Amino acid sequence: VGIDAGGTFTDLAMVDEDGRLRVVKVPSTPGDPSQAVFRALARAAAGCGRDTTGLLRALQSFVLGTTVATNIMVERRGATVGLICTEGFRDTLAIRRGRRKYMWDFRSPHPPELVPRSLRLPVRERIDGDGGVAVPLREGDVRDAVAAFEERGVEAVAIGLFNAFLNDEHERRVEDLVRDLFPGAFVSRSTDVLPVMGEYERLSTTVINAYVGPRTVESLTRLARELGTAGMTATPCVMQNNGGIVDLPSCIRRPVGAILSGPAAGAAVAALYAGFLGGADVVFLDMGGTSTDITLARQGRAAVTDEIEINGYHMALPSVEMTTIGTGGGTIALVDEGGLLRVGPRSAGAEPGPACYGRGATEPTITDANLVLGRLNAANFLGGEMRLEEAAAREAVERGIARRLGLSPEDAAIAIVRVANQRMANAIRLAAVQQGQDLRSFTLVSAGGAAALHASAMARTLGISRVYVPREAAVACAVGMLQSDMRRDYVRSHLVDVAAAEAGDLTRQFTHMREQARTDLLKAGLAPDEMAFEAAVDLRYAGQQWQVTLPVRLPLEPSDLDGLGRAFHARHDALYGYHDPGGRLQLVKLRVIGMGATPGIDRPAAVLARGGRPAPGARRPVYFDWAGGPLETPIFSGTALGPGDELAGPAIIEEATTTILVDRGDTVTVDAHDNYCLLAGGSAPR
Amino acid sequence: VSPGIDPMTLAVVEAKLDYITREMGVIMCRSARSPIFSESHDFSCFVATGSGDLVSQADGMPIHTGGGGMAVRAVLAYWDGAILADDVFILNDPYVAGGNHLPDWTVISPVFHRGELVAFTCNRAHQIDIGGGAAGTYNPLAREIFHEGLRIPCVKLYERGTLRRDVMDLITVNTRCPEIVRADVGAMVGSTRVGARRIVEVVEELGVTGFRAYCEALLDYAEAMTRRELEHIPDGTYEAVESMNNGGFTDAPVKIAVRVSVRGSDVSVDFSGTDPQLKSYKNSSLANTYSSVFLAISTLLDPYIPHNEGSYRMIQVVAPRGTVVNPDEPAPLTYATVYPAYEIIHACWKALEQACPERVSAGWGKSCNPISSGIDPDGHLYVMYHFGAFSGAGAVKGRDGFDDIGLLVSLGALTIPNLELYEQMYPVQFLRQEFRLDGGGPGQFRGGSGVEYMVRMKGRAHHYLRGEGLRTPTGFGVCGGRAGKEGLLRVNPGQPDERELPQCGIVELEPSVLFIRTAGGGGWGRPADRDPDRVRRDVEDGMVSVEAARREYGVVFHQDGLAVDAVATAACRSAMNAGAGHVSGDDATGREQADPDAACRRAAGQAP
Repeated sequence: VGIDAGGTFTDLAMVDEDGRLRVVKVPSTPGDPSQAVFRALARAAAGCGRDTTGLLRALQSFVLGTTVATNIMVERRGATVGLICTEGFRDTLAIRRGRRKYMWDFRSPHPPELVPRSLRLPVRERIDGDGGVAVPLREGDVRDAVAAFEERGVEAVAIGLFNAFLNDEHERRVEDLVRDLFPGAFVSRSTDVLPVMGEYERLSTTVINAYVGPRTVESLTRLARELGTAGMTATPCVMQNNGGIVDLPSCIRRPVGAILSGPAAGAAVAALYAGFLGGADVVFLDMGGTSTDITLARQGRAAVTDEIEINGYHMALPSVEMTTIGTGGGTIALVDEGGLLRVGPRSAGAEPGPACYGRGATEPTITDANLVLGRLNAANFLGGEMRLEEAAAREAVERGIARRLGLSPEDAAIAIVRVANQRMANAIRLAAVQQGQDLRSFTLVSAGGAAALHASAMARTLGISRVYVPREAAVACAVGMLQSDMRRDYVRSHLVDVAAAEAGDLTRQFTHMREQARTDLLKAGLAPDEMAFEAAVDLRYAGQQWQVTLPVRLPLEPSDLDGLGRAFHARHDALYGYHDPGGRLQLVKLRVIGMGATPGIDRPAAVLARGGRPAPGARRPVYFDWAGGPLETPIFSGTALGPGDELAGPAIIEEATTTILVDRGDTVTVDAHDNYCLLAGGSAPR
Repeated sequence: VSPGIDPMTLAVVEAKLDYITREMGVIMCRSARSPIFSESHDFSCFVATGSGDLVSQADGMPIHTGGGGMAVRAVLAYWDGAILADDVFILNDPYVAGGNHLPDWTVISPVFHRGELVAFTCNRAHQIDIGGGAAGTYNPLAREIFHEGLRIPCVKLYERGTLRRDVMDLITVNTRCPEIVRADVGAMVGSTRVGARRIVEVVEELGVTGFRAYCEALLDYAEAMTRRELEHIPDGTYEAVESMNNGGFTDAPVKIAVRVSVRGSDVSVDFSGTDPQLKSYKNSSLANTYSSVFLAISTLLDPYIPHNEGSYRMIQVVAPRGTVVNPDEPAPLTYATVYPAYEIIHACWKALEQACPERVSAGWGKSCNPISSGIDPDGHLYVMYHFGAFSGAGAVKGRDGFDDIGLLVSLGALTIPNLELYEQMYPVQFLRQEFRLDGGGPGQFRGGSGVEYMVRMKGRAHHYLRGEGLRTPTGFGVCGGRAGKEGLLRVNPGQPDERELPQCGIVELEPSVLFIRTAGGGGWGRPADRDPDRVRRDVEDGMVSVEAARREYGVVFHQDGLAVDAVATAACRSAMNAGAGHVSGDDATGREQADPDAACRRAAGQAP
């Protein structure tokens, strides 16, 4: 099973021995996430005629995506952390390189530091820029710091010393002392969490690890214990920021690795569907009630970045490169003082939700607009479990937008949807630029309950011709978890000019890192023949701060270094429009990825009965921006469609938890995997 | 929204143009070579209409973009009728080419659609070196612009898509770092070209007429939004003076006088009474004076209204010729983008404190950090900006000043580098980078403290001194808040040869330790109104001393720790309020007027 324990819903996806996929969606229980997990398991067990214990005993793999750590960050209710730092550098965390979100916002303060200054305690020591010891460690200072921490009720200790990425002996000694003197504390050491250059990002990541540590560990440990007590024998695994999974004991050692545990599954989902699509490049769009996550995957793989911001705090652990924007079904539209239509950034959230939820909200949202346009079926929301109130939606759009702009409610609703689509398209495009990708050859994979209403229009705006909507769109991340491989990332700073680098020396360092990876994977229960390793280097022109990651094969030969140079120039030119053949090349980081394959979904593809032309189950008036009025539109029920069926837009397809808008000129085919493949028509509405 | 304009399409066009400038910025940041760009983002990408009105500036620094349209209009005037598809222009000169100061080179690509000029994509970026009398672009000894480096009028760097190698060689042979500058100019051109391609996509959707109409509408919309905000500022004429404590070559103060008149939503900013232009490089080009005024006004308004040339239409700037804010050629002016940009912004805030105290900021502590240059162990010339030592920001209503943040002229967006990285790039060892105690100006919202920064320069080096935040407090308080502390710049602290360095000039030093204590920002509102618990936290954190808590804030602690003594605090504060009376906005120290401290000591049961 894969379980995505999110903030609002807990989704479960299960594959049985025959490769059959079952999905379950239950409301989350934020106070104690394991309750919802057990409720989902019970539902899944009932679905296949077992009880929970029977199901747990039979499980071969259990993968969890959890928002425990995420929520601690979002709600800022983490542990009391004490930080041991180098004398003279007490404020690195608070200076935060001066980084703020939005330059023109002159009035918002920085978020409060996760460790107040009074708990950032300096010790005398210093590692020099060449890795030598400039000032020996004063152990007495460490003892004093620990004594102060105990007195102040510290629960977790972070250790972040200047230049420790060059030489970790002081940090290790501090860790030993802390563990010795303060056995109850959770300890987070920078050279263990992220041994890379750049004191701010390394320290910030280390502190986040300490901050989320105690509570995340407690929650995961309790769940593991309860699962074990209930009969599970498989080792639970946890989804990591890097899109891979690790066994629970490893996750507990470095909980910051699970801070994007839920959405990072997007990478695996993208890989799964890319496989269904014959290895296509995909942009994965997961649009929920309050936000949309965007993940790009080339050749089945999502890019991994070292730059993540979470609720104003910076984390530099390798993570799936993902863009989250605050546009979701519940995003609120308004007319600003200058008479311009704005969609977002405010959201109606899950409570009270859009006006059409009938819980008293009066501001129009994207969901309300879709309902006014007849695109959503009021009687078929969340599989019919919730009835939407059309009148409330209409009233909200009318009062909030239409009257103020002198438009009909339908035209106002069309405007809301178009602005929302443009915002999401902009975000997708910017994400593509930041990764140097040309979207036109990509397939848009539409997931989350809300995306499929917008996917066709966005594809056109982006010049994308194909949209893929899996039937299980609303629980896609849980499905992705089933599909994830074990993955550990190891990064190490290594600064040297490529011209001066020695292949033998690099190979030695890589070998050391690979051994570490092998040891960790063995500990996680993998057999040697299940493991795979990849190595890569980060290169740049001397003086640049951004680097380009290129794969290398081990052992490195001296001639490989020349090849690297050529590959770098070519990649740089492709990304930034120029290259510099005479430029001095620098090697910046070494990377090793250890992976262990998991069985994953092996769903048999159907034999296509080609060219089925299903008849619509119903018709209703739907508004399109090109139609100038309501259009009697065919409505198809997803349950009536099977592999090989084809239909053409304009049409609506209603699945239990998602609705697909098929626009004029679009065609939809149900593919051999029983999912929807939409080809966007030519004429591009703006 | 203007008639005939579809508000929905307008919102989309606005988002697209902003997106294009941000995309240009990403390309520049990732491909440029100098850490000024990649680590600190000292560049700006913007888009102007075919007639030279800046229409989007989502990326970059306000001090670059506020007057950005002037550079485009200079190109239009100079190359009237001879601007061709795939040309690329480059310029920097503030006197003849709409530049702001010489180090900021501006690359401009015209955008054509079916033979019609529809827009310009631009990138203005601070080069690592431009020749002249000092490595690193800032020559404190310059007396004429000719001492400051290469002057570039509006020239074509590319003609119909072909690089003019002669021009590229002419500009790069005039710098000390030709390889870096060549690569950085390449990155600038790349970013404007990608931007131009994106604009063409927008024009193809809207048609030329439609695109122009929507650009105009965006300018009109920004104007309308800005006017709506400005109407909240009461009508009146407000005057103020802000000073530099030196003229570069003299210790005599230099006066920036301003008279801000608000009538409805029209604003006039008149600098009559400002001192004559200086012999030193602290004069402000007209483009820079405009940018500074726009920046000052923008800080008072809703940050989410659009920023383009339409937002400035209602602001009239009067800058008399021959003064510091509009000097005659050949006055030097490289330091303009920082000083007197700060003084111009500060003067506007001081004037408007009388009109809208809840909107203005207290003064930002001015810079104390030099630029250093020398030869690294590999024999290469290096230029190092001490960006690890910025000053404290002024407080505004609702937030304390940032304790260490990028320059005011970037609205703090200039990023502070990782010192570990600098130790790998330059022959230096850092010894300290920590907030200073009691540096921030007391107030209901406290000014930023500034930092103590100590660095060992391992080799002999030249230091280009420009310590405007030294000697006297510069981060003034507003609305009863007090000034932040002045900065300090010494060499070899604790050694027999310890000494203070001069405020301006160039010194060459053997291997040595530089110690900088940067200036504090000013406080907003009366210190006695600060939440006692926030004062307690500042004391606990070592940002404010126990003495200052009592003397400045009237907060008294119980003898045995850091619990606030509520009774003694109330007594102390009422004594302060009675004794201090009204504290004027300008000389906000206010301590000489009474002795509330004695009263506080009595309240705390201590001997006076």
